Amino acid sequence: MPLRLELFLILLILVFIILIIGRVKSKKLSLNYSLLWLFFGIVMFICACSEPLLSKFANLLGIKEVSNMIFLFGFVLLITLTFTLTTIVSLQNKKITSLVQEVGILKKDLRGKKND
Amino acid sequence: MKVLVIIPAYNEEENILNTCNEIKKLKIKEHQVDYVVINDASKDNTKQVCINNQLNLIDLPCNLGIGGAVQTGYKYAYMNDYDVAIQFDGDGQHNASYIKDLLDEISNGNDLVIGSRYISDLNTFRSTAMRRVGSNILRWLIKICTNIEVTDPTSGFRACSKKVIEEFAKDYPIDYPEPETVAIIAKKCYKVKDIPVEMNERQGGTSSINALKSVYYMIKVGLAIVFAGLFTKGDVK
Repeated sequence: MPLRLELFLILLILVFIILIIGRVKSKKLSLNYSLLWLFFGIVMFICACSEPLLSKFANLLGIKEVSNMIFLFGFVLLITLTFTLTTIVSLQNKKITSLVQEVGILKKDLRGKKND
Repeated sequence: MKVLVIIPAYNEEENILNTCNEIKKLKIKEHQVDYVVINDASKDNTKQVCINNQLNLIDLPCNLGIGGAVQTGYKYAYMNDYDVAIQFDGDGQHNASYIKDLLDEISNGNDLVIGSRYISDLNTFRSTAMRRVGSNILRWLIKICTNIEVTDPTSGFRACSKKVIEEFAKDYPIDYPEPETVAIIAKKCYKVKDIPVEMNERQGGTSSINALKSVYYMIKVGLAIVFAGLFTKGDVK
């Protein structure tokens, strides 16, 4: 990997990590959801820093091309992320349903009180 | 016994008043029969019709689908300490004169009593061939997974005992809940029974299941029954 590319990648990943930290700091992203992204960023950082480590690892797994390994990991990570998101959505769905039901019942109680 | 008739309503402005009047007319010995309409954020004037006629109404702020709407009724029944809850469609499909039969079976010690279209000889309900095939597959699945036989698992006309009200108040499926809840309740070793009822043809509105959705319906409900069979803990009541 040419040095220029390496530096560019490292810079990109650093910006990415700073963005995550900034979001957490301004409370737009909750810390527990940021962990996966931070982990992702750190792994990418390590990958970008040391190419020999990557090819060694690819060798170990029996993958011929380093790029193939990167693609594989990318896919795995994206699937994990979407799966986590679906789980979160399901959970929130349940909570919203509960809330809507309670609000409905409360509205009824309130109407009853007004009529008394 | 204190009985609550739960009437879920979505876009039922034409039928809801008739349905409620039928329930109000009911006089059953030894039972106090109340009703509650759950308006699932209808787009038509269902809410206004209910308020103008002073029907007992729970008005949901967002559309939850049939499962969420019905569960609201069970939660209401649970909070207000009802002994029996009866699910009764707001579209005029169910016949109020059979409520007494359902209640009798609850008094006999059953926990979930289902009004079935397929037992009665005098039944006028015209079911399509596809519908019967689907229904039979679900019956068969429930038989395998929970070892009980119900003739009409998709029927939304049913009565629940106090214990089952509590179960439903805690947990209820979001969409197409009928067969799944039968499986869960059977698996938990409650007594399930079906009795013959007549159902009317729809008096208005449109059915919630169209041809396109039926494939999704079968897969979702089938899977739900299998999951209920595999993972519901059968604690003996």
